[in-house]
Amino acid sequence: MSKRLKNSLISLALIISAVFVGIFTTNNPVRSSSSSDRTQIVFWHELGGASEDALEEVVNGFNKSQSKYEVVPKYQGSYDEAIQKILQTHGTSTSPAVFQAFDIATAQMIHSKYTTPVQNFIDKDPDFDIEKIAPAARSFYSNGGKQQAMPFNTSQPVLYYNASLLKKYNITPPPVSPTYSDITRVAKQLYERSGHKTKGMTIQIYGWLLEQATTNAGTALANNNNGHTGIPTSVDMNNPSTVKFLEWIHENIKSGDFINYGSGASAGANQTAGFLAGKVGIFIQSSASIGELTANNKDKLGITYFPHPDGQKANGVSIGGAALWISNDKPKAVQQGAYEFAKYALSPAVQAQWQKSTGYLALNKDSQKEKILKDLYAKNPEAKVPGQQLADAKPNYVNSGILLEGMQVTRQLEEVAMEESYNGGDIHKALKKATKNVNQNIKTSNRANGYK
Amino acid sequence: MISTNKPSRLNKIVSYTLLLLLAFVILAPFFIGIWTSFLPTMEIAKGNFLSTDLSFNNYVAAFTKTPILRYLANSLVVSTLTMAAQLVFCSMSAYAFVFLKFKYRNAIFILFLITMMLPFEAEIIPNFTTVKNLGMLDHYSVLLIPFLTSAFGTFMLRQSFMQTPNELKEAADIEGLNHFQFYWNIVLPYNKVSLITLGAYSFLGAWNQYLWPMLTTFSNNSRLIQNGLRQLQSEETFNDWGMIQASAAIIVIPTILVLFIGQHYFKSGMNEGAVK
Repeated sequence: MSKRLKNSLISLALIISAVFVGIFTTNNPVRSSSSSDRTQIVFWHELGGASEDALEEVVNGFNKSQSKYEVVPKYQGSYDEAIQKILQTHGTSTSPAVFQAFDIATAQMIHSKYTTPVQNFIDKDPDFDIEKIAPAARSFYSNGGKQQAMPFNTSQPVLYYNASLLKKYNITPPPVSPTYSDITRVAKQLYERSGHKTKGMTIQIYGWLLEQATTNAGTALANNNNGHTGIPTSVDMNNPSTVKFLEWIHENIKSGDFINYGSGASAGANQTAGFLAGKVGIFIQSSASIGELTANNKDKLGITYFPHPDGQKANGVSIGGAALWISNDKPKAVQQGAYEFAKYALSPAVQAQWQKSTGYLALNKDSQKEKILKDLYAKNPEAKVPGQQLADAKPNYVNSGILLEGMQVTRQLEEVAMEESYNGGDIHKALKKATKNVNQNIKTSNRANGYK
Repeated sequence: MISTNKPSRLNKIVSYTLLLLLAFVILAPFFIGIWTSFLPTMEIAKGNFLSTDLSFNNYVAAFTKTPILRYLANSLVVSTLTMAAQLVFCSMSAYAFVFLKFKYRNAIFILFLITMMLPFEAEIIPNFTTVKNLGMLDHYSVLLIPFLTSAFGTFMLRQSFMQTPNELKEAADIEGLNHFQFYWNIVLPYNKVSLITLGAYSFLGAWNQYLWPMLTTFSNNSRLIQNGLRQLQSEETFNDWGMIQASAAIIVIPTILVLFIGQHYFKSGMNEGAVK
């Protein structure tokens, strides 16, 4: 046996014994050290990258603004993964006091009964005026007349166009709230006048966009008023509004000015790349993408509301993003601290800075008066549009989101239908099939959850 | 002479062209990845990969703006310990299955194998509940204890130990070596190659873990590198692709080192003969 191997094996054995000693002598969770006289509020969130830095700024601001509580932010992975972690750790010492859960998990969160509605705290708080918060965002996270969660990072789907290209080819830009035919006109002109070098438009195969198009046309996808007055038992995808949306896309595919980037996460990145490189002139995306589209982009950016069908008024789209929920498994004092944090996060100055650094919309009406946002709008006037769209929307059951569990599966099925129709399939047939499969899934999931 | 040389030369050209082509297909994505890690984010977002605006800015940003060093250290500690523990425990259990005679030896070994049939992802719910009740969540131990041994390691080393010539065991018996001496002085050195293979395998396995650490750790202090990489990406807003790509390149380096070192030992191990 070589000496070297022997030595390495001995050192290996030593390391292992050291580890065991280490593990069993210090069996307390790894935690960031902190001053202990403040009440700790553990905050789980799913914001990575640049938005995490912005979020930490909010948290630090809150911790400095008072001396009673200390919020400890902890990143938990993607929205989907975090939901499972929140539900599975509820009631243990590791569970969070306040957490961020995304839009389509709202029904699941309400039904879990693991949270305290923020309304309970708002009712006792004379300083907080809920009316200041954008109504469309509020109504998304309320149920039974109670604010269930505090809307937080909020975005809306908007239509982006390359204003420089439109100017170059002398095309009249679309109006701020365009109809389908307005967009078709611009897309066709861009495609023709650029000598077929630039495609007119794209719409990603993404269930969220199909839902928003239906919402904007004033149609509810799920029964029981999109789940706001009872647990939904069926959906109807094959409705005139959804059909009109897909027919509009069909028309553009036929005239050649449409480019299909497919579905999935890479489709989003590819269409952004295509737009920035001037290969496509119009696309629809979350308003939170604005940072990516303006940073170092030489071309001027144009933004309009989400398009709506011809001959009717836009109903307004629902919001995307996530909200802050307060867990009910923590002592009263901790829950109160969680509420104080949520309240701080929605104060005018914080929201204004939040919009500037992340691209998510400022939800407090008074934020618009803050200098930060005024400066931002002076520099990029188009940055105002998503916030206006949010303020314009009058909340109703249709544009307050779909309170349906299993939205992830629903979106997948919607995307299958979109894909089929993009590839030239029959729209009614594709939507009928999606309706059938979604309804099947709702039935199974309702039975599994024990809803009659 | 010439007539026999020609087809073999042609043969060589064809096989080398084919090898080059395959090497290109396999290596191209890797080198594109390294290349983009030097590009500014805007060029990447535009899909302009032929830009010559190269710099180390992304690497500087990755090290200074993110806790990636902490994650690297966490991963290094967890992976090294997992590897060390698996080598010790797997080799010991494999030794027992090969050189010790006891009742139900085969039945117990089959039980070992059965645990290999279920993928880890399928056992994740009961495992999560177990560690939750043990109070191990968000602690290094939750990343280590479930992986201290593996059925695959035992299985692999058992196959290798079975190849150890019986003469060695007999000679050891004549010399009066006890079980531990035989295990330590003869079986382990003789099976060096398998041990190094298992070591590299378990190190990389631990290094590339994603789902389990994502579920069981909650704070930056205990986060592993693959989850840290995910954290650099945001959901909807602006992504600094250049910095993310640079971090991915940094993360790959230890993997490559382990493979190269493993390969070096693998070669030298093959050349050594233990039986004369």
